[in-house]
Amino acid sequence: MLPCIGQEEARIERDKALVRFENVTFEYIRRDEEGNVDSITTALDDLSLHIKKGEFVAILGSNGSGKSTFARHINALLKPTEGKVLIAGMDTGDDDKVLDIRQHAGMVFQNPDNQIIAETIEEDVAFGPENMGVPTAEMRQRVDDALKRVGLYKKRLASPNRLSGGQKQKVAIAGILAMKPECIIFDEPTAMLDPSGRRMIVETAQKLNKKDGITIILITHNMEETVGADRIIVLEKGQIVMEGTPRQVFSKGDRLKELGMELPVVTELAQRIGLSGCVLTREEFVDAYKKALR
Amino acid sequence: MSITFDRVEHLYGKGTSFEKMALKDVSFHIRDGEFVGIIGHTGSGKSTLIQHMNGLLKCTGGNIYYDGKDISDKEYDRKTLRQNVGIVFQYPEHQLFEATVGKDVAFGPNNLGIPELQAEVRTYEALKSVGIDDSLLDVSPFDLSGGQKRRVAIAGVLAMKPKVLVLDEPAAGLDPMGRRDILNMIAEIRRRENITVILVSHSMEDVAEYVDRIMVMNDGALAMDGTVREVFERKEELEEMGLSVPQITLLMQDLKDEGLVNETSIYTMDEAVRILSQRLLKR
Repeated sequence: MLPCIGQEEARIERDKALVRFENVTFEYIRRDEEGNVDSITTALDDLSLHIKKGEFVAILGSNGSGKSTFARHINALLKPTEGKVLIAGMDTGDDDKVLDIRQHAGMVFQNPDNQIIAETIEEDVAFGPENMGVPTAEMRQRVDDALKRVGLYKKRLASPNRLSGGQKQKVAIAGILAMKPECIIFDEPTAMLDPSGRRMIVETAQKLNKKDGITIILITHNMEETVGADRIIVLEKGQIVMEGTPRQVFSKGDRLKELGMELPVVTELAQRIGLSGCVLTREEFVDAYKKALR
Repeated sequence: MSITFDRVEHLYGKGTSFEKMALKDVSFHIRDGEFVGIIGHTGSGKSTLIQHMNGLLKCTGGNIYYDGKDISDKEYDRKTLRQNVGIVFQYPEHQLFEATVGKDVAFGPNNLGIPELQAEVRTYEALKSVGIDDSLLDVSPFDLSGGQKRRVAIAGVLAMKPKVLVLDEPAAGLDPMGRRDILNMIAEIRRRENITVILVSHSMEDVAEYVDRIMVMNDGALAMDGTVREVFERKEELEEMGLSVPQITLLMQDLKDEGLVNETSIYTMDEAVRILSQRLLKR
């Protein structure tokens, strides 16, 4: 037990680590027909990490490195075999807190079609708050506000089935925003989208982070999408193997490639032609190339 | 096998309120052995188009010919068509179902009534060409990693010995190394087997690097059809269609705007490395 601390201090403590993993191990246990243990796969291995309120964290890692298992622990879809996950101070192991936790931390999945349930866009967005028992008047306001923030307010009465992939993902995001979350987890949200859809979703995530202060955890295989993050975490075999700002992580290209990752296109090009420093954007590339030509 | 689409049309839900023209007047000819990329925004008609390629969907207008023969002819052997044109759908690993890797890959050939021994040889060959080791033959496909499952699923199509291989986003959801491995593997299979390959992709980088020709679908119509250069030169039009050009191309344009290079028609990393290093050496 912590010694008695004031409410304000408690809040500050909490914000320092909105998402807190303490020595989390998660095992997928497979059993044969008789119920005997067939195999055990350790998906998260003694993982500890803190994510601050308002942070934008990108998670990288090869297929099977534990990224999705990690994400599913944040909103209590999975619970640790060992260790603890605390979201805004609430233990995901505490069954009474699960609904509260899911309201704090919403998740956007890879396939937009699997997340659409209602006949109209606004009904789809209202599904979450409705289940939370939000009063009608407030609900109207929450739904409208969420739709405005993702730029779909004008289409609110249309059917979600006719939208593009990117727009469907935006509906899923609005559905989470209507729950007033502190944190949104994106689990490879752009994997199935075309270039404009990708841009749409990454820009929306960045805007929600910068403008509304929502904590973003973005899991992706696309290096370009991580360049604007505050921090990148690379997972391998359920453990954190690299961590730092995008510049710190992408300056270790060899290590990343060993882990099955790659560099953003401009970073790779800059390194291959021997530009100094770690270039992350097209603007930085142009400047560095200009300098090299001088 | 060469493929000809002549004014192909497809109308979904004819006579209902959901009637939608998914393919409009699509005409093209793909030569035997070509490597073609298809790009287009979600809902542009790419999937509808490829489902016409092995007769899963019948066109509601126009004609489709393989090696000059109309596949809608009554005499046309549709079973052979499905054997000749292998389609690898998105996330093909979701279609794995057998108890072992070997059985899953052999399912197609067995269904064709191919003698057991021959089917076994095909299974070995197909697994070899996707880089799956023999030691995994008796393993359950569900115990494999995501990338391995996808390879096994592709091997199942290859075991049919298709003359045309159509792949819908074969690299979607794979990590960068898995993505590169699978695309290199497809390019290698095409070289070795000398088959026609059609690759549907959302990655402008991948099509720029791998294919010879790009077809652009937009709202059910074939909006562009040309070499990588011919298509990516039309950047503004592509952007209006929700598409893009490779990042390298955008960067080269920025460098040109600053007067640092003269070339902009650059689409791959290797080309850019060559040009930018030469310029640095000449300084």
